[in-house]
Amino acid sequence: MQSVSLVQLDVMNEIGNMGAGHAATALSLLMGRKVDMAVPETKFLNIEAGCRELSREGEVGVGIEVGLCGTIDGLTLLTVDEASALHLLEAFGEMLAGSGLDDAMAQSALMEIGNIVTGSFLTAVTNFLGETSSALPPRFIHDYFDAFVCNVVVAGCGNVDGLLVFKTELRVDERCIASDLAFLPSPQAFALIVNKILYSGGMS
Amino acid sequence: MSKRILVVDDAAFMRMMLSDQLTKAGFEVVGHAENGAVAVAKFKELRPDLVTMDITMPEMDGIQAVKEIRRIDQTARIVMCSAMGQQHMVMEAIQAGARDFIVKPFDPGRVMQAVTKALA
Repeated sequence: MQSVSLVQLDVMNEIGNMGAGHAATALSLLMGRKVDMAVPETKFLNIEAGCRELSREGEVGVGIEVGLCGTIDGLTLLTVDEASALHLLEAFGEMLAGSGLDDAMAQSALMEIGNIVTGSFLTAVTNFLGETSSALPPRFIHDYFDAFVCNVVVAGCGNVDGLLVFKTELRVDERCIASDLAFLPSPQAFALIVNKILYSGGMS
Repeated sequence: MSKRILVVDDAAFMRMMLSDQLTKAGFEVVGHAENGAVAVAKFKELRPDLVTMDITMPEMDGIQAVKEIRRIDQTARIVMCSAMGQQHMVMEAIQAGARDFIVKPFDPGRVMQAVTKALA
């Protein structure tokens, strides 16, 4: 497994919190609700531990997978438990009243949330590193956590036996949304991130 | 007569939100398209006064669609819809002929400002 020092992880956590701030502002505008988001902890885990961290055994949940292209390529996976996903839909009010997770418009709304969260984190990462990256169209997943998390993580990790998990605290109208964001950079992007953080002053 | 607008975005939810804002502001949304290729076909068919164009879409992205539409009509008025962190793509779209851009999620005031300015 590739290694990341505690200081590098601390820098990534700070970048994660910048992204969370952007995401909270954007989600608040999208939903017309009070939204708070923070990243209290960032973990660098191997594939097995990453799958465990993101999964909720025996539970069905929602995943929004977003591919990334550019010098920071790879993918992100936003996971949300089912009750929280339904609460996010309720937060849109009349527009999505009565929509379930199999409804196309509801899925589109949740994918837009995934887009916004990924875009916010990506902007924070690329601004810090002075790199460029773009998000590709998102993919909606509604399945057992154990099944979809492992599929996405194993396929997305490529030659990097590791992923960054931003443990997020997301609140919409004071209600806690159980979610996490995993960032799976490509091997090249991983090396770039680690080197740039090393020489960016983050290790001074 | 109200101005006729074609709304282009691969996300059905964003098409609905933007159409709702435009309709409430007195514009007529004459059509929707879910990718650049459909947008070009709908532009030929509907000849709207303005197109709102998402950037990241499957099949044909918004920048390519701007180029195709401007080839069909040099005076076509297009406002780009970008996500956070897409500044370099917005610049490319403006160079291709787009008049302005709005950033998702949409602020209704900013949408009206950009659309009104592009139609002036």
